[in-house]
Amino acid sequence: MDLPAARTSVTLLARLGGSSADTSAWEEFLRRYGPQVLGWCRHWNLQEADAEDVAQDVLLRVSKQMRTFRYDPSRSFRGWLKTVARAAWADWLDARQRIVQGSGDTNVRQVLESVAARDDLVGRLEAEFDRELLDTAAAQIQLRVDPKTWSAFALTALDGLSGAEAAEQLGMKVASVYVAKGRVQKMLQDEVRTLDLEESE
Amino acid sequence: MAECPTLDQLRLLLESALHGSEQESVEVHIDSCAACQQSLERLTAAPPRVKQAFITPNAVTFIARIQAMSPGVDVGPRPATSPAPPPDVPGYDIESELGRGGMGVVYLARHRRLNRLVALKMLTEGGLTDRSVRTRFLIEAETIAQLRHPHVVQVYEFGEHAGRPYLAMEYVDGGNLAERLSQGHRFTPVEAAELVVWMADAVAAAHAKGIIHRDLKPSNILLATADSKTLPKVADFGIARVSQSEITATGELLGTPSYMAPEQADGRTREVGTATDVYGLGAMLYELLSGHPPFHGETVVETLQQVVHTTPRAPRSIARAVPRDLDTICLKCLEKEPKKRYPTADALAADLRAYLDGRTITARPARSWERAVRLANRNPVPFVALLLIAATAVGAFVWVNEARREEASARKGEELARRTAETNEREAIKARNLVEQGAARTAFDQAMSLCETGNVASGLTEFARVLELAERAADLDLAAVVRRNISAWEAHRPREVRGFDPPSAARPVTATLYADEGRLLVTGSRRGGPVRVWPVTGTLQDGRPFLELAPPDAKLPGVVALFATSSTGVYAVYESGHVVEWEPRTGTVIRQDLAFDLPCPIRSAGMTQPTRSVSGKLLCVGYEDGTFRIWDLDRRELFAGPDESPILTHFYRGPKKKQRFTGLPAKDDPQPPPGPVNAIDFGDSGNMLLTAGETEGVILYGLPVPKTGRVPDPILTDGKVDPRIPYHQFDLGGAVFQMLVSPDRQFFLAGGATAVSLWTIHERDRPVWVHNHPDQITALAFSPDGRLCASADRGGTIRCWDVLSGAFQAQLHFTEPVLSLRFPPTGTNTILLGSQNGSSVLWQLPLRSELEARPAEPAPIGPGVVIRIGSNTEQAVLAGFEPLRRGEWVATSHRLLFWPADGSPRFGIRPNEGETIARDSVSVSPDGKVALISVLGRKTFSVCDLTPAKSTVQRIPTAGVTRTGFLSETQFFTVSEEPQPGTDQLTGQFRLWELTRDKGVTQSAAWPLSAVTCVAPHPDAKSVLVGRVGDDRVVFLDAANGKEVGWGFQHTGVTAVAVDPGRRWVATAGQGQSVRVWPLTPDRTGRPLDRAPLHGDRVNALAFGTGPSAGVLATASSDGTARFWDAKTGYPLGPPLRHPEAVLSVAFDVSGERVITGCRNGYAKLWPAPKAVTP
Repeated sequence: MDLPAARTSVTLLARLGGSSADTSAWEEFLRRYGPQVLGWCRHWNLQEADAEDVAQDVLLRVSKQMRTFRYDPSRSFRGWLKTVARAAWADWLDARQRIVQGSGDTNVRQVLESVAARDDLVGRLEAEFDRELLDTAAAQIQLRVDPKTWSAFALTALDGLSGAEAAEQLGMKVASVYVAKGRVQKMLQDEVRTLDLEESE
Repeated sequence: MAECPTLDQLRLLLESALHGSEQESVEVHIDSCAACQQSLERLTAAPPRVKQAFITPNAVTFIARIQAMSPGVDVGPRPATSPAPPPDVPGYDIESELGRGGMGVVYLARHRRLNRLVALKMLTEGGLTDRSVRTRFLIEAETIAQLRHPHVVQVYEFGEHAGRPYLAMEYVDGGNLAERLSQGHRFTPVEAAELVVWMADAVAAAHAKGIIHRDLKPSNILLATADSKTLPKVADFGIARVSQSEITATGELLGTPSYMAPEQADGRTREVGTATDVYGLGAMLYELLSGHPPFHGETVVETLQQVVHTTPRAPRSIARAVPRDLDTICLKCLEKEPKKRYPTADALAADLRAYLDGRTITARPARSWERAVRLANRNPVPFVALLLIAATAVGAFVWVNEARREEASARKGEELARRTAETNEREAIKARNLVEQGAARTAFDQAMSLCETGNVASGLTEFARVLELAERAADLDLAAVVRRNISAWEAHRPREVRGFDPPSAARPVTATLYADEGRLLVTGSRRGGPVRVWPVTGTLQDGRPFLELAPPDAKLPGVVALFATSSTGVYAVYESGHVVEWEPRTGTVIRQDLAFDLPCPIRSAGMTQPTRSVSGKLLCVGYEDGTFRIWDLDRRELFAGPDESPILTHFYRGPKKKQRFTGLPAKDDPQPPPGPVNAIDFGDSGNMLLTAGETEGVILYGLPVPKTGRVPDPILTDGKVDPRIPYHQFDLGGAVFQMLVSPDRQFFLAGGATAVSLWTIHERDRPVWVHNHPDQITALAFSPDGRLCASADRGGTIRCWDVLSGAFQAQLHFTEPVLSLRFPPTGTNTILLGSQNGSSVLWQLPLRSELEARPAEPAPIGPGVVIRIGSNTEQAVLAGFEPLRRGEWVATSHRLLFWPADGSPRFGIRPNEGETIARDSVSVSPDGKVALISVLGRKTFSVCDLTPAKSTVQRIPTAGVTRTGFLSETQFFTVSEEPQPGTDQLTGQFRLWELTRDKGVTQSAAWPLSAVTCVAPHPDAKSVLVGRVGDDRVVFLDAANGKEVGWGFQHTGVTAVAVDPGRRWVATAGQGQSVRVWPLTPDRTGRPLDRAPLHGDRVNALAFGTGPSAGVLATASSDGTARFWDAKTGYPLGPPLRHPEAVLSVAFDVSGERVITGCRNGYAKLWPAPKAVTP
């Protein structure tokens, strides 16, 4: 079975860090991780224009670090992501300290230069990675279960309908909706665990 | 069911584990019971799902903006494995897909310039990743490209684009013979003979080149129509195996082995040769004549059986119209024994021609008794009996008759047999050579890859083997390449630079330290003996150390560890418990304390970084009994533990990982006797302590800041860990023998029984990386800049790693266990080893090779400026050699500097403040007397006389000069580009100038030229090679009038060109990091540089060597390396020249011995050029 969306997503970062990175992977990376970095800048109270500049700079540095520290598929993916993020932050900091000395707005910048800000950045990227894993797992599970089971899960777990509402909509017994929901949820957890291991080993 | 089901019942329901009836009633109940639905809701509540990313309003436009401005970011731009959809091959428009298999794919494509349809073959991703398939594709494509025959599908071009080799072949639109036959088309015997003659000619041409098709069958014969005649074109020579028919390896090929020769069907591959192709031709002749393949069983197995064992029916017995001679020829081709067939396709063609011309054919019909023998072989007993009967009856007649015929043709037969034997042998030798060359080339790749990954010693051994193979296969080109590589890599073989301590079994060197800013080396031994101080520079007098420092307690003289003080001093920690501060330059004791008690031997010691510790200067030691102490060097007292005693224990009292699952509280765990503390060190800014042992892994303890002189208890009275105090156990999964904290104190290396791992003190759950080691780790080291680290093991293997990425950098072997490792304070290309055998030796690491580096700009634009993609903001560094003063020159965007080697003072040319030198506008004449330079925005360019007598600058009025270059010592050119008034277009001019002593500079020609991407002069000084934006080739233009002269070279997106001063080669660099080398003749077949290691980013500059480096091509790339290649074969030569940033220029000096590179970080570097090596 063809799972382009799913597989690509899982290997997205690996593709960026591996030897076969390409433009589409970079674009996908920007689409997924760009907002996280931008969000990070805003969270640390940078003004809009500054935030975009900083976010852009950090992203480009992430890409540069990805080239420097190639991902080795035999090692922890998460560890690699963190290393890259930390290195990009340090690189950015290094550059920043060289050019913005003496300029105003130092409080905000100092905050951004704290270890807490760095860990927040790493954390945000990692959270996005988790989401990526989950999305991937969901895409794969969806292909594995029958459409009705999936709908029961999606309506209850994702769209927030109650079991009874979903049952009515799908013409199922309420109990079957919960059975379906529970089953998919379990498969999803297992899949995420497997993916995470795959990514790490 | 009135009553609600229990929670357990609901759980079982969810697991679908309820019994049928029970399940039904529960389900019915749930449908109408809100309470149960709520219970189910709780039971199936999702674990806190990761929140969806909150997309901030401007994020979308923000991303679009980055994408727009970072097309060149190229995150590891290797589109090699980009997914299948029609690839973009320079110069071709892909029209449709003709066929696809596991390894290869064929497209119908149109050659843009020639407007000609071609069949474009490429490897699929599957084929690309299989190294052997790829290698074979390239070797065979190369061989077949040389094959020009009217009846062979012609290869027009082969090359590589974006990492994928491709092959452009003649497109034949008449379908193939298999299709024609299946449509029921019948051929007359003469038509059949003609078709097969042509095919045989084609196959013979291939045989002459040592190529055996091995897979001749109707589907591999393409048909073209010319003058109402059907002309066959043999396709899929060899490439068949990697492209189309491998598809059918499981299908068609096994489905119809009807055309397979018996030796193939029987797996006797050693017998496969020219006669195999003769069989294939015969099988097709058979089908053309009779309408059926020679064998066709119900099943594949049956067909194979028939191929091997059954004598084919004579075509004449199927189709009566088949002439006897063709019948004979056909059956001779189909003989089971290769020896009995026509030996070559030539012989078959000759006999078919004889038939077509009405002459006598050489083949004789199998004689009646021969057939009988064949039958007898199959069914021995009855047929031998029959034969005997027949022979007795007509024996006399038969024998006489046979004897006569034999006699008549005896001489001819012998002659034929002799020729056959010779041909076969020649073919065999050729074929063997081809195979051996292939093997040698594959072995070359392996050797190169070993060297590239830091295993230089093994790579060199492998290279020696490749040399042997290449010589045996008479591959002289490869042999020459291997010799050069051996010579170039030999310089990178790890080697001893100098020794300090001489071997002495009584004093194994366990501690080493550089002191006095690297001028002194201090060594010590745990087994006693004095601490020795060695001068690092200068010669040793009689091999004696500079000083020997006596131990404070002669009874316990062993040194545990040595540390640098904040000034020039050295702290030595002795096994007697003494801490002595030495002044190593004079040998005087600055301070001495008996700091530590001795409940048992001291095993390890660590110290805070004297300059960057918030806790002040602290020293700690670990003991054999698993305890440790902390000594405050400032206050000269021991730290107190939680219980006021200074005895601290290497044991983790927090919640143990394993016990988390059993739920046992940690305090109930009986405390086992802790093992020895193998290593101890301070982390972060001195506010953390790390201990490592054979048990308990690595434990991290927080120390109070500012220091209080005591270690707080991380365990609160309620048994829980105090969240305010860092306290952690790193799970290393085994005994830790060595541990070392990095210079920035954020990482630590841990060495176990078979592995070394890097951890950070922040991320505590898993290591940054882990690598195996052949033996137990005995020593660790970080380079002072924190970028490299090294590990040594008991077997004497030392490995160097890049700290952050964990990339393997280099490896060396020492004969004895290495007990101490130390990088010198400056530079990371050497490492000091202290060994079990008492010696301390400085080794060269195979990491760097540049001759020297000279700063061209004191403050390079590097990381630190917001990235804006565009060449104008880049710090261009061009560099070259100038022969006048035998020196070098380097140009950045702000100055041009000369380093004369003849002793005259350094000098430079710089524009006014704020002005920028146009990139590529700097040239120095071949005699070094004149430099050209152009400043952006000025209306003139400058011609600088560099001869010391004059040193004048002439400004020549020509605006917008962006490029300059010398054709000869008296002729140069400029390319200027200016905006056209009223439009946003640029118009350009190429100008040719003459330099004369009396008249100065005069313009001799001018013609329009714009959108230039690169330009290089031809050594004949008459033309220039020019690449232009949007042009998919580079062309020679007459310097005097801009007319195209001769020919051009096909290459899309050309970024750099170079012409070999020896006039043999031209090199072009283009799209997708591709580099091609072309002979400097009107021959359009260029050779792509396709051997690994390819560049990972744009190629910015090319240069050819002269003299000893003639035939060497240098490439400079944005991937931060410059590389050398053998122009003739396209093989890499020697190690890459590594730079911290993009390499922008490369040039050879006139002697051909040195190379200079310019790097974007503002540095130029000098390197030795790879030398030619004579066998």
